[in-house]
Amino acid sequence: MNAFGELVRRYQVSVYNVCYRFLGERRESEDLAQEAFIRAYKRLKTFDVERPFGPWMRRIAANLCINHLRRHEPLSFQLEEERDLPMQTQEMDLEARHMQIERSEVVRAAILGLPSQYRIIIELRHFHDLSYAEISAALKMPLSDVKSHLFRARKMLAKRLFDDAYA
Amino acid sequence: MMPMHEDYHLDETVLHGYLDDVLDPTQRSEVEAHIAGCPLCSHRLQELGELFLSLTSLADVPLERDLVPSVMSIIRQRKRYFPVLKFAIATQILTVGFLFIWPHMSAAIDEIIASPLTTRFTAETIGVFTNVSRIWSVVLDALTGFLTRGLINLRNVPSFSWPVLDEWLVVVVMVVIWLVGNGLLLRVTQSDRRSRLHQDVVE
Repeated sequence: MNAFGELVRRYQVSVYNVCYRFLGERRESEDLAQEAFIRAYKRLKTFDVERPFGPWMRRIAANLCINHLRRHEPLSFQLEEERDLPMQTQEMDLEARHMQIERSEVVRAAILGLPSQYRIIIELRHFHDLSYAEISAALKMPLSDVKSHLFRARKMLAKRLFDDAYA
Repeated sequence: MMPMHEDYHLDETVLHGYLDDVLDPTQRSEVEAHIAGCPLCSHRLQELGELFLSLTSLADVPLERDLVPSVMSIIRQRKRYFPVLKFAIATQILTVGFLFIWPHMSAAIDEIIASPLTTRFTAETIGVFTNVSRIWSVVLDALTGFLTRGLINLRNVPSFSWPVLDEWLVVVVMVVIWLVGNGLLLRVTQSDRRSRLHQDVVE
């Protein structure tokens, strides 16, 4: 059990951020992240030790968030797969870091301003690195719909972020 | 042939496909060749690329509280109470199952009692449970009807010859098991809730 505590310590930030990108509310995101770890503990026997723990853990969190959103809006799909994204490490000075934080808040607000279906597709494509086909399978949505939703979501994001007409 | 706008510009799906890396090598070459000679498409691609970069470089939000203590506390709590919870749920199911299903099994029960393989003790035990379920059915009828009809039904309850202690003992034991099961369920639920609230206060 101590080993699981260590896993929680190591992955709690990334799991929390999965929830936060979906929900945009800190308290709720903390609760769901906590619940995600508890569920993961119950399902530890189903975890394939040959695969990295992070993507599996984040998949559970994403599924929880999708279910949570579904209770508030009519959604009916589950995340099945997530690839481990390469870690990005950067060294930057304080000012650059401050600018990055400000920029991140703007981006995050723009994502949260999307309709939840668009938000989920953006999350799956850009943060879980799923292909169009994988998103289509996960959401049980036709491939053409995935593409059109994704492109429309990006268009909305670009308009919010860059403040000019992206076409 | 690449999909184009009427003014020979790249279609939006092509631009997205290029950055999503879903185009085949031939298509990618065509896109790159067009981009090299078309300022408008080059600008559109650059904007889209900036959007992609904004998303992929999104920094993590720091976590304000450490989730480890609360997660581990809840896991320990649930591990401690899970056997109790299983027992409590089992008592509920058995009690309800017995009270509602047993009366519908009278034909099968009669056969069991009449079977030469059934020992006297087994037959008497089955008889006790059958009488208990009959008592329960009568009480249910009395409760679901109107008050006067219920009183009439109660007055018409067939009297049992003594010893009836066996039947009433079974009823009392079942009621006690039912109450204990409910109490345990309530306790487990409240403990879980208290544990979560405690963690909230501590944090």
